[in-house]
Amino acid sequence: MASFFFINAATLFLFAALLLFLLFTAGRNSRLGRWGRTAAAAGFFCLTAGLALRWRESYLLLGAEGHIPLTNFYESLLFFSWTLILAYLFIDFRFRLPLLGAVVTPLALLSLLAAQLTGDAAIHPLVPALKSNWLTFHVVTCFLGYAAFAVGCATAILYLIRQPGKTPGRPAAKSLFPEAELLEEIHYQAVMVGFLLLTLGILTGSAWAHRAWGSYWSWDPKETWSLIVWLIYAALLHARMIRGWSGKRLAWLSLLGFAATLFCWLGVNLLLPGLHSYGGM
Amino acid sequence: MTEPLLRYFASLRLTLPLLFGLALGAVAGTVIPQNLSAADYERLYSPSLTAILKTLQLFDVYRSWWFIALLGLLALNLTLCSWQRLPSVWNSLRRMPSSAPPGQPGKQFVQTFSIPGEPPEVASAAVGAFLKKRFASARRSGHGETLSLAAQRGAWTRLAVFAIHGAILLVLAGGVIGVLWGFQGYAVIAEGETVHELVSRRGDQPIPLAFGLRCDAFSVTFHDDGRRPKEFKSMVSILEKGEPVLERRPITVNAPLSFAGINFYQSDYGPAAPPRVSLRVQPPLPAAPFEVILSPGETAPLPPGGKLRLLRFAASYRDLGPTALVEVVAPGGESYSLPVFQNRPDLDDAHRSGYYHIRFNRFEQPYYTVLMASYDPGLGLVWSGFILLAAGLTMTLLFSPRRLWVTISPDADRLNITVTGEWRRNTAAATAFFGHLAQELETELGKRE
Repeated sequence: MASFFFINAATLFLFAALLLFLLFTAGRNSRLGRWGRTAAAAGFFCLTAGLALRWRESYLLLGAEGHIPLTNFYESLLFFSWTLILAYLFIDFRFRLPLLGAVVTPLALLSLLAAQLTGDAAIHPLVPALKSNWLTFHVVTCFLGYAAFAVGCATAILYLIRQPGKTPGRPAAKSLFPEAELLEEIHYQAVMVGFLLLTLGILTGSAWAHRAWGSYWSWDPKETWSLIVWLIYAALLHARMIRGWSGKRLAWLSLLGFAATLFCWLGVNLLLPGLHSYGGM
Repeated sequence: MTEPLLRYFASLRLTLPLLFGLALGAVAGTVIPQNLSAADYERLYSPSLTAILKTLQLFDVYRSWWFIALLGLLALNLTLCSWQRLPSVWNSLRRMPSSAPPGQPGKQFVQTFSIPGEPPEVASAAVGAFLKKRFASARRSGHGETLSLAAQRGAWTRLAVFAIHGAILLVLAGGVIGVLWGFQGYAVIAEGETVHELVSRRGDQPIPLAFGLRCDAFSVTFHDDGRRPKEFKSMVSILEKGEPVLERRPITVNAPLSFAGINFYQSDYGPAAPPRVSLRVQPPLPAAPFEVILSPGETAPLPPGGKLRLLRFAASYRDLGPTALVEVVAPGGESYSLPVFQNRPDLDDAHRSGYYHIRFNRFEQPYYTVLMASYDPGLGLVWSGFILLAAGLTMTLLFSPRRLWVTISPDADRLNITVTGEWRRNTAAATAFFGHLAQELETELGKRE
């Protein structure tokens, strides 16, 4: 199927982007940073084409039973990779921050490789529970939210390794890392966007659960973990307003939040039984 | 309540431990299996650990007194905090200070430029017109020779936080109402039967229904691979005093049926009785074929002296459809077993040379359906909370309040114009915005003759 060709091409481009970003970080050559961005953009284009073709192929294969490629573990890994690169490109476009690429690309590449190594790439018809218009809204908002939290986590990592106050004697490091204030701001905005999207993801999921299972909240492990993630980020957004809670503490909180996000997405499916089990491997 | 106590319950310092406490409780609720039987817990944990976990109500976290207390405290915290802050925010919306207050570092933009001397009132009018066009209507005020203009945009979005907090209170209130006055139950109904009560999901008294719920038919269809279910469908009727008021309405997954405020959902199904499989048996010609109906395990005599036994039956096998595994004993005593497929009746003809030719006719499978039922008078509050929450968060993200002051003060034979901008979020964009605006104002004022 043609979609696999594009997904493989995306993997190669992301691998190239990762190498270029690493060289850029080591050599501080801004041209390498630009090439890295271009490779990431090419990877994004290929992955978009791959997902779009897969969508089309599902209709060719299943007729009226065709569906958006957001319905199993393999597809969720592909889509997560897609949203990650999208979020990185958006922020790089707005704030010129190729360094972020060096943190985000490995994650996107990892997700793509995991999809190809472990996932079931076959296209199957949907089980009755997934046949709903809520599916698209729910999955898209959740995964865009995850991506925003990933970018928030990436900026938090940059913030933490930047070690404010320790670099003034080293102009080279200064040129690589942006101002602390800019990182704080990107971090805050990413978390805000992620929080809105996660909230929309929970609300759409809840409305869907009401329609499919008769209860908008059942304390299913997936639901509960999405609430845990929500609570952590709600705490982060409020902690910012308390004196003494800034910089490093918020960055660590963001790392915790993203760890919970990853658990909500992967850990719950792998370790805890529940209603979302069809998302498993 | 005393003042310091009130302040504590309204403060963010309480919010944080509450949010983390709820998160930790929820983690415990997913790591420790909830609401198992005593025997199951015995197998999982040692007696002493079981006793500790039970005392802490960790086997039913979401209904434990401490989890509910944390939620209650959060609701109190939200209410008091909003109650305290709303008046001052409301006032600042209606009236902004005529001069810029000392701003937070990094949240204020100040730029001064000077223009050739002219009466301050004239400059003030020009600035006012510019602001009205490019920013928002400005309120003018003057102190002696210094005039100032104040304008704000998107100030109303400061109300979004109250909408968000209110929304969470609505959802919590809806949840409480649902728990107190709603119910969740289910009904197991065999095809053709009618029930008048539901089994409570909480395991207490059955819930009586004011009407009868009849299952007319249940069906399950499979995809071509024969394994993946395509649709589960119950056809149901609602009876009042024995008379149907709703007839043969479908309930499928993701498409519940609503009656008298109660929603019915397709939840599960199973066989109500063994399947009845109809097989067509053709003895050697010129004898006429005949039909045999069997359930799995049953045997029927076949004239003129053979036997047919249905070993196993599957409603769906790969792409071959309903399939029966039968054992045939010919009149001579030789016996053999073979599968027969509804979708491929000819498979038997081409490759087999038995005494009898067996074909799959059809099968009947009586089913029971399991319908979930829920009644939740808090739903309206929950949905309005959802909408308000989504709207409030979107509003905070898309718009952010910006305030602007312009002061005009004479300095020798020139006028000093100071532009002060203030924002709450998105420093980079706001700095660029105000920088651009100040630049434009300077050009605009210079262009006048």
